[in-house]
Amino acid sequence: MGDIGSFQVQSRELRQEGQEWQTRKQAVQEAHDLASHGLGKGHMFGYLANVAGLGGYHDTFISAITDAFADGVQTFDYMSAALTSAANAYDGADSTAAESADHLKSRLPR
Amino acid sequence: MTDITDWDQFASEVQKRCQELFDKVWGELDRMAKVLNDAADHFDWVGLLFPIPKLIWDALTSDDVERAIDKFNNEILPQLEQKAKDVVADITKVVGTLAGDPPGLKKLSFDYAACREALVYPAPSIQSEIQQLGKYWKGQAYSAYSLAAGEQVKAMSDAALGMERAADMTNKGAAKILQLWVDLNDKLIGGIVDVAKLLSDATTVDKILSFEIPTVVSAIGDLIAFVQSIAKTLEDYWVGVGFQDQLDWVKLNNGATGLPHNTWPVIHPGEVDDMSDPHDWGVVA
Repeated sequence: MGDIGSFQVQSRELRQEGQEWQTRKQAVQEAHDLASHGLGKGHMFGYLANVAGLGGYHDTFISAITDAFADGVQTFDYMSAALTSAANAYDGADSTAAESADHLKSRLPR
Repeated sequence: MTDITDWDQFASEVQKRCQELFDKVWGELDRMAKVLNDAADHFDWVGLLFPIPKLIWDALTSDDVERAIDKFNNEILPQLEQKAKDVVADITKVVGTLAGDPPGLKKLSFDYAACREALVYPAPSIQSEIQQLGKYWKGQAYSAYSLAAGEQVKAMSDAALGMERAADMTNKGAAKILQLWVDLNDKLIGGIVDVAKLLSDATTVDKILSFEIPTVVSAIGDLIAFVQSIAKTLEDYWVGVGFQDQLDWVKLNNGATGLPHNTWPVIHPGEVDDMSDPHDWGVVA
């Protein structure tokens, strides 16, 4: 993989950026876990609130945002892996170090 | 002001108040019955010694006592008994509609607020990261990354905004329920004192004779009205939240507030191809 670029590569910057996405991934994972505490808890608003449909609104929102966070975690994992894979390829130390395009894409949410 | 923290405690407090109301009403009715019995016994005893048609004792005639007993048996007792049953039935019914879980909602609101804190943490801006990376990376993959990275980080701040709104509304809902519970309980305490005082004024036969049943019934009725108004206040509040308060929950639901459509942004397939394919990677000389 060393023939990808004919330039001296600063792969350290790519790895560092890849690590930033791991940090972001952890943040979104934490948000996912916290938000999931509210799944199906709309009944806590009580009978009268649910006459106005509030519990349902709450549950629909929390369900959607929790799914969104799960997708975010996968997407950030992909971003991190893509950068790290590029860094590995530029380093060229090992021809198997970089992930294949298909493998990278498989990290994305379906 | 009472300190109520959860539904079980609220229900228990209200049950206690209802029992207190019953105890007060029955206690006072028992006392009135005793006053009348004592008076009747007195006339029975004096009548044996002095068999005259109309006895007078303590400025009362035996007719007065009979009328007071009739009034007690036919008006005071059945009406107060019925009213007390009505108020407890109404309170039980209304309190059932006030059920909710404010402590649970508060906990959720803290979790939602923590979501925001998790998503918005001190870090270099993505723009500065992209700019820094541009010193060493170029080509289609870098261009694709620059676009995708900006969109992805924006999703974090959008979602944080949505969770912050959810936290605010959940917390407000919890506070409203708790406040109305406390209001209701405090009103019950005050109302029972009022009713008891009205009843306790009927200490003699002549006071029982002049006893204003409608006043006591009205005082108990006030309790029912207040309890119903509490339920209405809570219902109005929720209707207000659902339909007037900028339709915040609805906006969160349809993604108008917070993360658009409540779905995480998908990276454009073209950008994915560029970032995933090693042939699109390039470096700055």
